[in-house]
Amino acid sequence: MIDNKLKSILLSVQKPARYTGGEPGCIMKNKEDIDVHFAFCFPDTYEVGMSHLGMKILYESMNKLDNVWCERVFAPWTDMHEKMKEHNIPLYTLESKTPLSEMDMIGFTLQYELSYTNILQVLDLSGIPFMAKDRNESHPLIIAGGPCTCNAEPVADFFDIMALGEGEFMNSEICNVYAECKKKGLSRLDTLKELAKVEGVYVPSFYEVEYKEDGTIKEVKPLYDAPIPCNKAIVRDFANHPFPTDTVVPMVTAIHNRAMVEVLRGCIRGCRFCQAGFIYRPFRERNVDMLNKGAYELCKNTGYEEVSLTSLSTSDHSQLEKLLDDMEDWTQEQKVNIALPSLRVDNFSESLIEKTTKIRKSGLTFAPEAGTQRLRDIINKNVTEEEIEKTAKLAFAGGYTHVKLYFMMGLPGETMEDIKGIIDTAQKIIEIFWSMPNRPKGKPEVSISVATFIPKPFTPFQFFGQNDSELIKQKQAYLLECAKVNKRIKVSYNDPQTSIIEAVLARGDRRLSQVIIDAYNGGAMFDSWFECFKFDVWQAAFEKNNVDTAFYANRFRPYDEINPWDHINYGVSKKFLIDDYERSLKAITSKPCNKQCYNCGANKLLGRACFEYNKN
Amino acid sequence: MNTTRIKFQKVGLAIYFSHLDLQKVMQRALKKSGLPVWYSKGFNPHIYMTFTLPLSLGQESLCESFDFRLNEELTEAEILKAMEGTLPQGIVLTTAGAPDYEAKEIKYAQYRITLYGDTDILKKALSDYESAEKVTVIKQSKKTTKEVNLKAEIRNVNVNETGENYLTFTALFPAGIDYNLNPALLVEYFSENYGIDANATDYLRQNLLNEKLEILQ
Ligand code: SF4
Repeated sequence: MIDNKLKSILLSVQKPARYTGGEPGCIMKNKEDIDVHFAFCFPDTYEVGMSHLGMKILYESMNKLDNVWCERVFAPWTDMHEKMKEHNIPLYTLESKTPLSEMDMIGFTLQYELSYTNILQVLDLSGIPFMAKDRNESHPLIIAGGPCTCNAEPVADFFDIMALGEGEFMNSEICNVYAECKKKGLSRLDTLKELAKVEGVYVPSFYEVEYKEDGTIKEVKPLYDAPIPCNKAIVRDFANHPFPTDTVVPMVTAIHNRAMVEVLRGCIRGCRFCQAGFIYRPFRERNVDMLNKGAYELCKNTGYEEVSLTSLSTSDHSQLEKLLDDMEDWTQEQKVNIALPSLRVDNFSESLIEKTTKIRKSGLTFAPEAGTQRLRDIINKNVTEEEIEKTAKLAFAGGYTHVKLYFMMGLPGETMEDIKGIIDTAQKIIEIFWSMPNRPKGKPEVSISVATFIPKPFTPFQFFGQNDSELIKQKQAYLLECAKVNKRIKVSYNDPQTSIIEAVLARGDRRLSQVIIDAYNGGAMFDSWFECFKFDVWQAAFEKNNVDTAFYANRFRPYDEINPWDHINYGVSKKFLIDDYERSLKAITSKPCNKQCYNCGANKLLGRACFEYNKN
Repeated sequence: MNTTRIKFQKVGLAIYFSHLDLQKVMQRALKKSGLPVWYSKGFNPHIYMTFTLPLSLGQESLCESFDFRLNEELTEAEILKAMEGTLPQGIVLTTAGAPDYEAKEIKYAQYRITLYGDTDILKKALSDYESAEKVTVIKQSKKTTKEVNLKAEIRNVNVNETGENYLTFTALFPAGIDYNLNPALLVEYFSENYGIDANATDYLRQNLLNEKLEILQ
C-alpha cells in the first residue's frame, strides 16, 4: 500500500502515475493463492517499457498460470531514484506494491545494451547484491531475457539464469520448474541445475571462461553437464499461437500508446547489419484470421483507437493485403486506425499506399541504410535506386510532403563516395518532387537520420571492427558539407560516444561486469537518454579496470577467435556468418529466405525447412 | 442524441494521474464499453466529452462528472453495467443520467483537508489563519501572477478533528468555469509559514455548491 511517506514523495516527482499501477487491464491476484511471485522488469522508464510488445505478451502468458503472479516494475526516473534513496524506500512492484527483495524471481528484459546500468539501479534500490555469487537463499532469482541475451556476457555475472530466445513457453516452464523446486525445498544451486534443463535456459555460472594472454578467450567450459552450445527457445507453431487480446493500458502516455499485433516473427531479408534479422530467425507468419479476430478483440478490450501491425517487416507477410481488407470491415465502423510501422521500400505497392494514406496521413519514413548501390549490396539491403525513387513518387502522389530517410555510417567497405551518396539520394528525391505535375501543395522536406553502425553478435558483420570516433567525426563533417547543396535536406546523426559504449557492450565479455558496476557507482544510469548519458563516467570506469575499448569495438575479430557468445546458439551458425561476410566483401547479395535457403541453421530450431520452396 | 452525465469518484490510486490523462482514460473507457456513443463528424471523428470541473493531481473527489452524448436512450443501469471493468483503480462511477445542473451554476467546492505534522503546530496554523485579517498569497497561472487574499475568498473554514500528528478541516473554495481557487494555495501557505509537508496533505472534494451555497447534485 501507499503510505503517507510514499504519497508525499510521489506527489513531489514528475508523472507519479509511473509508480502507482492500477491501470485498466492490470492483473491482481492473492499472494496466498500463488507459488511463484514474479516481477517483470523493463529497465527503462514506464513509458518506454509500456510501449513494448514483448512485455505484454509475457505478462499475459505468465498470468494465465493460476499459481503464478507476474507483476511489473520499471526503472524509476532520476527524480524518483533520488527520493527513494534519500527516504530509504525499497523499489516495489506496481500491482501489489511488494518490495522486489520479497519476490521469488525478478526477470529483466534486455532490449538494448545501454540499459545495463539500470539493471544495477533496480537491484540497488531493492537492496539485492549485484553479483549472483554474492546472493544467498533469501534473495530472489534474477533472470535475463530479451534480444541482448544472445551476448549478455558483460552482465552475465549479475544473473542467476538467462532465458535465451522466445519466452512464451519458456517462461511458463521456468515458473513451473521453480514451483516444483520450491515445494521440494531444493537449494539455490539445485534449483539452478533443474532450471538448466529447460529449453532455452542458460545458467551463466555453469560456464567457466578462461582467457589467453592477449585477452581473447581460450576456452569456455561447461559445469554440471550444462549444454554446450546452449540453444535458444522458439515458438514452433507461431502461425497458430495466440497473442494477447487484452493488455494493460498505460495511464501515463506511453511512447507507442496503441494496440499492437505481431503479424510475423523473424525476417526473410538478411540485411547484414541487422541483429534482429538474424536472432529472431526463422521467419514465421501468423494466420490471417487469427490476426484479424485478435486485433478486433484487442481493440474492443482496450479501447485503443489505433492498432499497429508490428514485426520486423510487416509488408513481408504473404497475405498482408487480405488482412488489411478484412480489418477494414470493422476498423472503419469502430473508428480504429491501422498503423503499419515497418514497411519496406521495395514492396510498397500502390494499393498498400492507398490503404495506408486512407488510414493516416503524416510523414513517410523509409530506410535505404546506405547511399550507394555498391554499399547497399555489401550490407545486403536489397533496395535499388529505382525502388527508392518509385516509393518517393508514390508517397508524394499520395499527399506526403515530408520524407524521412534512415542511413548508417561506418559500414564495412564504406568510402567518402558513399557518404556523399546519402545526400545525392536525398537531393534526387527533392528533384522528383518538383518534377511531378500531381505533387501535393507546399514544399518538400527530406530529413536524413544517420546512425553510427555498431557491429553486433550473430550478424555477418560480427567480425568487423567498428570505425573509431575520429573517422566517424570526419565522415559526419563531410556529410554536413555535402548537405549544403539544398536547404530542404535536414541532417541529424547520433553522438559517436554512445556508439562506443554500445559497441563495447554488444561484443563484450564477462570482464566488463566490473566496468558496468563502476560506471553505475559513478552515476551512470539511463545511458540511452541523451540528458543522462555521462561519457566521462564510463571512460573513468574503463580506465580503472584497464579496459581498452578498441579491443572490444574497433578490432577485426579473426574467424577462428572464440567469441564471448560462441557457446550460445541463437540459430544461425558461425559458418554461415563467415560465408555471408565473405560474400559481403565481394558485394555479393544474399537472396531473401523465401527465395533461397542458405542453411543458416535456424531451420534446425524449427525441425523442418523454413519455406516450402517447390510451391513457388 | 442524448446528453448523458456520468458522475464518479476519483480516489486512492487515481489521484496520481492528471486531468489530461483522465480524459484519455474516459475516452478509452467509453470506447471499450461498447455504448452507442456519439462521435463528432469530420476527418478525425472523436468522442465529444466535457468534464464539469477539472481536479488537480494529488486530490481526491467524491463529486466528479463528465458529459457525453449517446445515440440511443439507455437506462442508468445499462450505462453503468456497460462501463464495468473499463476503468483504472480508484475511478468509481456513481450515477448516470441526464445532466442535473449546468457547469456555470458552480460557485464553490467544499473540500475536506487533512494536514499532517505536529498537532500543536497544525492547531496554531489554523487558529492564526482564522484570527488573521488578511492572508495574501501569490496565485500563479500560465499567463498571470497576482496576489489574492485568501481570507476574502475561502469561506466556512471548520476544524473537524485533530489527532496525533494530523488535523482535519473543511472549507469552501471558489470554483467554477469563471474562477477557481485551488485549495493547495492555502496548504502551501501553511507549508511555507509552519513547515508542514504540503505533499503529504489529503484533499477530498466533497461537494459542489451554487451561489446560494446549496449543494448541487
Ligand atoms: S534456414 Fe534458410 S530459410 Fe531458414 S532462416 Fe536460415 S537461411 Fe533462411
